[in-house]
Amino acid sequence: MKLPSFVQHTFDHEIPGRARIRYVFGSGLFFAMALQVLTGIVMAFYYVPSAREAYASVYSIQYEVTWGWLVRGLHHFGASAVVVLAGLHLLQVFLSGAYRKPREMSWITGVLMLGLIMGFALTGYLLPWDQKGYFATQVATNIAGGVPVVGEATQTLIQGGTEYGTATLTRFYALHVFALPLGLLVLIVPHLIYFFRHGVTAPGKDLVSGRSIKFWPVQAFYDLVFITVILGVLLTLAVFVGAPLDAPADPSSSYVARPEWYFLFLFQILKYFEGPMMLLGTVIIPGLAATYLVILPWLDRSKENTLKARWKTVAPMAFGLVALAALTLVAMSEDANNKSYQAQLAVQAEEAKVAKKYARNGFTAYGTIEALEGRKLFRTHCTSCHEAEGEGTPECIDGKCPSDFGLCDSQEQCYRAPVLDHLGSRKWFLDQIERPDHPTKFGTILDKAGNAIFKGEMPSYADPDDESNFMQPTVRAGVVEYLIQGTGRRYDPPIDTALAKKGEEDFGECAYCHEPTEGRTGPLLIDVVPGSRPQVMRLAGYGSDAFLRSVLNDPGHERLYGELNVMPSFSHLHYTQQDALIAYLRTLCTDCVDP
Amino acid sequence: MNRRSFLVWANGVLGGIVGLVVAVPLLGPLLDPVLRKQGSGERPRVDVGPVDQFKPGTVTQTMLVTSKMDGPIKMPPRPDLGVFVIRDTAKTITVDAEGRSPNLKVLSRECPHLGCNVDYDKANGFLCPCHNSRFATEFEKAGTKQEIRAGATNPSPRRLDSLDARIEDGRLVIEVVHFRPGRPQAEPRA
Ligand code: FES
Repeated sequence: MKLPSFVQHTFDHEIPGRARIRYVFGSGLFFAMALQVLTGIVMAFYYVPSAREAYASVYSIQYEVTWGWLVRGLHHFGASAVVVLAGLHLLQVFLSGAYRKPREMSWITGVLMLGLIMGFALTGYLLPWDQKGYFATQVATNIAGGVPVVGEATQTLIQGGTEYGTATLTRFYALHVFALPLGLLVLIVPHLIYFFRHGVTAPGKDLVSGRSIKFWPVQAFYDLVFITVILGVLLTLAVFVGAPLDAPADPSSSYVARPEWYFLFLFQILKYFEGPMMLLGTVIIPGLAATYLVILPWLDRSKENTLKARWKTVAPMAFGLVALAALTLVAMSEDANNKSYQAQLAVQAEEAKVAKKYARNGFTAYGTIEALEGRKLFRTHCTSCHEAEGEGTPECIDGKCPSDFGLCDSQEQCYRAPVLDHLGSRKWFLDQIERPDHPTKFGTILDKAGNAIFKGEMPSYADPDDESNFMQPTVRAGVVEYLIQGTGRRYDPPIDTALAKKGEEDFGECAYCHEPTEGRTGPLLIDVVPGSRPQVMRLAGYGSDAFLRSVLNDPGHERLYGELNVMPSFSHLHYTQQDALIAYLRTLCTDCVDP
Repeated sequence: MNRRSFLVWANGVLGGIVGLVVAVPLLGPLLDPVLRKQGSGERPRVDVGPVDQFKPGTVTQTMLVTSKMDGPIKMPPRPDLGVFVIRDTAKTITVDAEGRSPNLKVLSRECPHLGCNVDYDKANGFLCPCHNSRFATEFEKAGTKQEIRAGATNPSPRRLDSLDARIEDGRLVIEVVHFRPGRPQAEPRA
C-alpha cells in the first residue's frame, strides 16, 4: 500500500533519542480541533443564525435531532478541551525551549492560533442566543467599546450595529464558521511545515545519544492513546453532564453572567481596576502578555536549554501562570461564597428548566420569553387569589384560612378563586361540569362581606342522586368535546368531531344559563353570530385567548361573570403584559399541543 | 508478535476505535431526516372564504395559506399550496350532510409529473408549463382520457389531484395535502 506523501512523511519523521509522552500534546490538540470542525459542520446543518430562530434551532439540536445532544455535547466540551490542550501544548513547548531559533515561526504561528482559539470560544458562546451567551458576550463587546478613540467604532463593527441583534449573530456566526477556521488553516500549514522541518525539541540527553527513531509506530501509539483518552473524557462529559442550554436571551431580564471558566481570569481582573484604570485590566495587561508571547523568541537567544539558564524568560511566564491560576481560583471561590449569586443561579436554572418545557411544546424563542415573563407577572399579580403550578393560595392555619379566604378544604388549602392549573384543557371543562362548587373552582369565592357568592347556581352534573341533572359520563365527555372547540386551540388527542356533534345536542339544557337569553346567569358559552339572519349560534370562545383578555380587562362584563364577579380588572396592565400573561396561561392547558 | 508489530496492531485498533466513536455520533444528525418522523402528520384545513364567491361554470385559482412548524420554528402564515376551485354550471350548490358538494371540485395545482404549478386559461385548459402535461376536470367535457392524454408530450402519470373540500357555515374549507409526483396513484407525502 502506498500512502500519500505527506502521510508517509508524518509517519517517517525522525524523533531524536526516543518516543516520549511529552510530545503528545500537539497531536491531541490537532485531534480536538478536528473534532470541533466535524461536530461543528454537523450542527451547521441545523443551526439558524437569526435572533428569532437561533434558540429554537439549538433547542432542536439538543432535544429533537437524533443524537444532536451528543454532537453538541462533544462540541461544547471539545471547546474546553481545545483551550486546555492549547495551554498544555504551549507550556510544553515553552519548557523545552522550543520557541527559539530556528523554530520561531512555529512558535509565532502557534501563539496566533491561540488567539484565534480564544476568538472561537468568544464567538461560539453567543450562538445559542441563550441568556448566558448573550450576557457574557455583551461584557466582552462592551470591553472592546471601552477602549479610547477606536472603541466605539470597533464595538459597532463587531456587533453589526449599536445593539445586539441578528446582525450580531450573523457576524459571530460568519466569524465562527468561516473566517476563524480559514485563519486557522492559513496558520496551521506553516506551523506544521516548520515543525516537520525542525522536528521536536528533544532534551539534551536524547540529542547526545545520537540515536533517533521514526514517529511510527511508537510515538504514534503514545499519541493515539492520548487521543483515545481525550475522546473518552469528552464522551463521558457529553453523556453524563451534557451541554447546557439556558433560557432564551431576554435583554430585559436580570441575569448575572459569567464567562466560560477559561475566561474567568480576565473577568476577575476587571474587578480590580476602576474608572479610567479599567483599560489596564481590559487591554493593557492582556496586551502585554500577548506581546510577550509573540516576541519571546527574540527575548531569549540563549543557547542553553536548562530552565535555570533561561530564568529571565521563565520567571515572567511562571508569574503569569500563577497569576492566571490564582485569578481563576479567586473568581470561583468568590462566586461560591456569594449567597446572592448562588440564589440568582438557582433562579436562572429554574428559568432555564421552564423555558425548555415551553420550547418542548413548540414555542418560538420569543414565545418562550413571553410565557416566562407572563409567569413572573402571574406570580406578582394573580397568586394572591389564583393558584397555578403550586404557586399561590395560603395553607390553613389551625383549620382556619385568612379572613378573606374561603374555608379550608380537605387538602388544608385555602382558596378564593379558581385554581388555574389545566386551564383550557378537557379536564378543566369537565371539572367545571362535575364539581362547579369545589373549592378549587367557584366553591369558596366570598363577597366583600365574607359570604359565599356561589350558592349552588350551577349543579354538579355528575351526581347520580340528582336525577334531573345527572349526565352520563359519555354525555359529559361530549359536552366537553363540544366546548373545547371554542378555545381555538389544538389538542392531543385531537378534537373528536363526531363526539363534539353529539355534545352540541346534549348541550341544550345548559343554554338556559349560558346562551344569550333573558335572565341568563352564567358566562356566555354560546353566542349569536353577529348580523346573521336567521340567527346562527356558535361557541362564544370560552377559554380562548380573546376570552382571557376580556377576563383580564373586564371580568364583570355581562358576557362574563356579571354581577357575581369579584375579580378586579387588570386593564392597567400594558397590552404586551397581558399578552405575556395570556401566553403563560396558555401553557397551563395540559392536553393542548399548540404553544 | 514482536513489539513493533504489536504496536502497529494496537495503533490500528485505537485508530479504528477513535474513528468509529467520532463518526457514529455524527451520523445521527446527518441521517436524522430519515430516522425521525417528519412533521406533525396533521393536515391543516384552510378557510378560503364564502363559497358564493365562486360563480357557476368558473375555474378560480387561489392559494391556501397556513402557518406550520418549519422544523423547530413556527413560521408566520405563508402560502402553502396553490389550488383551482372549479364550480359546475348548476345555479345552486347542494351540500350533503358532511358538507361536501357535488357542484364544487378543488384541485391541487401541483403537477403530478414533477411538481410544477399547473396553469389554467380558457384556451388551453389545464396546462403544465414545464413539460406540457394537459389535464381535464370531471366538469369539463374535454373528451375521453385518451384524448386528454393524446399528443406528443403529456408525461403526467395521473390526473390532477383533488383535495377534500367542505362547506361550513357557508364558507369553503379546504384540507391541505401535498401529493407525491411521479406515481400512477395519488399518495400523500408523509
Ligand atoms: S412538471 Fe408538469 S409536466 Fe412536468
